[in-house]
Amino acid sequence: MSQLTSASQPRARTGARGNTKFIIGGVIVVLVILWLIWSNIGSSTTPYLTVKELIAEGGSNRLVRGTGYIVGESINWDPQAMVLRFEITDESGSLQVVYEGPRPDLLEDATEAVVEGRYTEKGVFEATTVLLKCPSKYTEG
Amino acid sequence: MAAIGSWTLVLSLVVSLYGAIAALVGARQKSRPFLESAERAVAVVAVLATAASALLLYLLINHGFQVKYVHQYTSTHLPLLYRISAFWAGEAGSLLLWFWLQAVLALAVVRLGGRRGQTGPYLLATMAAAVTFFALLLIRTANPFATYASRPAEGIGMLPLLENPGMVIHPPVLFLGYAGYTVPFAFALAALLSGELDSQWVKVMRRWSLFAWLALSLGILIGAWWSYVELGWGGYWAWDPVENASLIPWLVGTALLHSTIMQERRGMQKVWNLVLPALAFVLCLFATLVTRGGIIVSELHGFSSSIQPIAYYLLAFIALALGGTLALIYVRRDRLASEREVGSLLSRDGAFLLVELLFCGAALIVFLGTVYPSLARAFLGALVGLNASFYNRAVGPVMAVIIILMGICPVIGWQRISDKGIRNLGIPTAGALVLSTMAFILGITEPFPLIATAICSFVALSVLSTVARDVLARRRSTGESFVRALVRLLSKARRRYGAYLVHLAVVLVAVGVTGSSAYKSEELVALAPGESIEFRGYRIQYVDYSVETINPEPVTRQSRVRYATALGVQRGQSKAASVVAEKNYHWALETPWVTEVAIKSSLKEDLYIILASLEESGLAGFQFVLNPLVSWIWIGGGLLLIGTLMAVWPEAHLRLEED
Repeated sequence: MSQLTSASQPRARTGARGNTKFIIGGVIVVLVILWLIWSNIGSSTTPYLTVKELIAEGGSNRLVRGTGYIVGESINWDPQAMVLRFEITDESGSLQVVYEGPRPDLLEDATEAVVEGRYTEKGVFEATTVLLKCPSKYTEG
Repeated sequence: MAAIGSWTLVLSLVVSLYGAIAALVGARQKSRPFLESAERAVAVVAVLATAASALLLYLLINHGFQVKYVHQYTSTHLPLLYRISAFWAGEAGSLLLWFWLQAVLALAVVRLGGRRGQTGPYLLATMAAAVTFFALLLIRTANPFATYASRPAEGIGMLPLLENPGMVIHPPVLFLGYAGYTVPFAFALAALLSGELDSQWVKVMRRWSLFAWLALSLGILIGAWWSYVELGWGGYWAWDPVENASLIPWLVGTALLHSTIMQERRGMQKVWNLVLPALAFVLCLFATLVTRGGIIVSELHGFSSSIQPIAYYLLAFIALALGGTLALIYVRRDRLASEREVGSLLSRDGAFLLVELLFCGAALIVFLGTVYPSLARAFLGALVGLNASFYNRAVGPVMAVIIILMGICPVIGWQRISDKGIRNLGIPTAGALVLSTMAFILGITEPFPLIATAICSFVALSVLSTVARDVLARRRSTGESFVRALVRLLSKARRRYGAYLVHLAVVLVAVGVTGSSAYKSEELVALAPGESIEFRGYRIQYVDYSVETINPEPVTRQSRVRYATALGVQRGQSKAASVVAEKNYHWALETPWVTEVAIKSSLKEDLYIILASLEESGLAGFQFVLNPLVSWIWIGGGLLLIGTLMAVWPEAHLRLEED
């Protein structure tokens, strides 16, 4: 019953010393939290790049999110191996994307897509996620 | 008929505004008639809000399609349960629900002893003002009773994702939490306005904050469950801005639960107990700003959203509430000194302070992560996204320390740690070392799950051994049997043991989160009908598939083609269970494909089957996911409910006696 022991007696004032200790402790905690934010935010940030920017940058193996519109006739889905290939485009040109995983539901021509992954030296964007824009679905919910 | 609804809202606005002003005038002039009039106004608004809600419910159930909201969210294909839950399927209905809860809570606060003392009138005024704000929001930004010139023959229907039992209860429970946090804020503001700043008000406020906290906790957990069973990506938490927005007030609210104990028991942290309620309250409004305001960049929402009018109202109210509270604290600063000094850093005082600081820190991390992409876009013009890894790496260590403190706190004294306290830490520390060594031998070798095992077993053992020591001590002094001593002990200090139970519940949730995030495994397989596969000890056979059209006429969001695959799942020598994984094509939807997953759940693990694709030949692509220990998250949620109710109970009993 530790809550009963010595809790009821106010302690004699220890003056500024007692508080300083806690202010220093508090400042350390705050600094640690700020450090946690600062040290992680950079490595977790992925820039959004358009097809144009990706091509201009070239294969970099950097984790990025590429945005563009799907080219309908480029869609090539292998249901046995579950490999999806398609191209995304904007006014400047188009970019090959390869993705291993389930075929996204809304894969159609001219759908706006966000592909997360790396644009490799081979000139192919290896995507780990393919997100297709669906603004109305969630805003109404 | 819908016009009656609109006018009811306008009337509510007028009456609640009057109530707020009358309560303020009554407080300034110490005039009883004004106060009684304000109380009657609050009661009238509660009746009006109930009438408006009942009217919308009636229209939803009876297909009143001339009302835009009913037309947009229901159809004749929708069963009764989902016609009812359509109430909170859209923005206007959600706000009406929030408004109704706010009005009923205002009445409850007044009836349940909120009338007493100098603070009563200010409490009344604040609650009435909050109700006024929501009436204003409804009328100005999202009137659920807006109508068409003529009645459409059929409604558009509910979004299929919302046709789920989780979505029937998740929003009301969550909104109860949001609305509930108005009460602690109103108490804090009333204490500041009236100048009655002794610790008496904190006792009553603590109970309300527990109530709001419970609702928010359950709301978040039910939301996670819904996301797990319905969204079909295999997880329960994605650090999406909408999820984060509900977590931030929860984190601050949890800090508040601890700081109220400090003031009640120790006469400390008076400023915290004024700032945290205000923060929790405005963060609930911020949650609506995130979901409805269109100012936060969200992956799921896309970039197209623009700032909605509701954002300006919410921002103005947030600024007013926060600015007002801080200004009043500044004015009253002389009377908010702590009654005593904190003992040593290694004391329960110190641990409570640290826990509160860490919860606020975690809230800050999640808040900054949520607004960071929007800020980067607004100020740097850069389009960036923040991965979930940010939250896992930044919030994870903070939560780990918080959980460790749950194990240390029960055994140390308020002011300093005693030798006895250090000895009492021996068993849990040794137990944690033994258990994590065993886990290591059994093959848990990665640092994260190993550390988590050590922490969780340390806390569980510490809490359980504390209870065991208390039972033994009681048995020695009273000579009762073990069971009797335990029952007596629990019923005598329900608040304390309720808190322990909640802490154990948090450990269970931590176990579930650790297991499912560290040992989740998945496999993507293409199977033809009749083929089977071995997956992590399961024998899964793809039996057959079927295609059928449901609700073809008239076309609503409930019209769909259902592609269903039947599977047989067998583990070891047990009997094969049949499950169905399906994909539905809702042709009236802009995003027509909706996946329905199959889940085979056990205490050890969940087998989660997603139908990824289905060819005309019947060749199906399946994603098999094994999520270990997920069930413990939901069990933890149940324990959290029991523990919190236990902690609130004796207080409720006392209150009746006081009245």
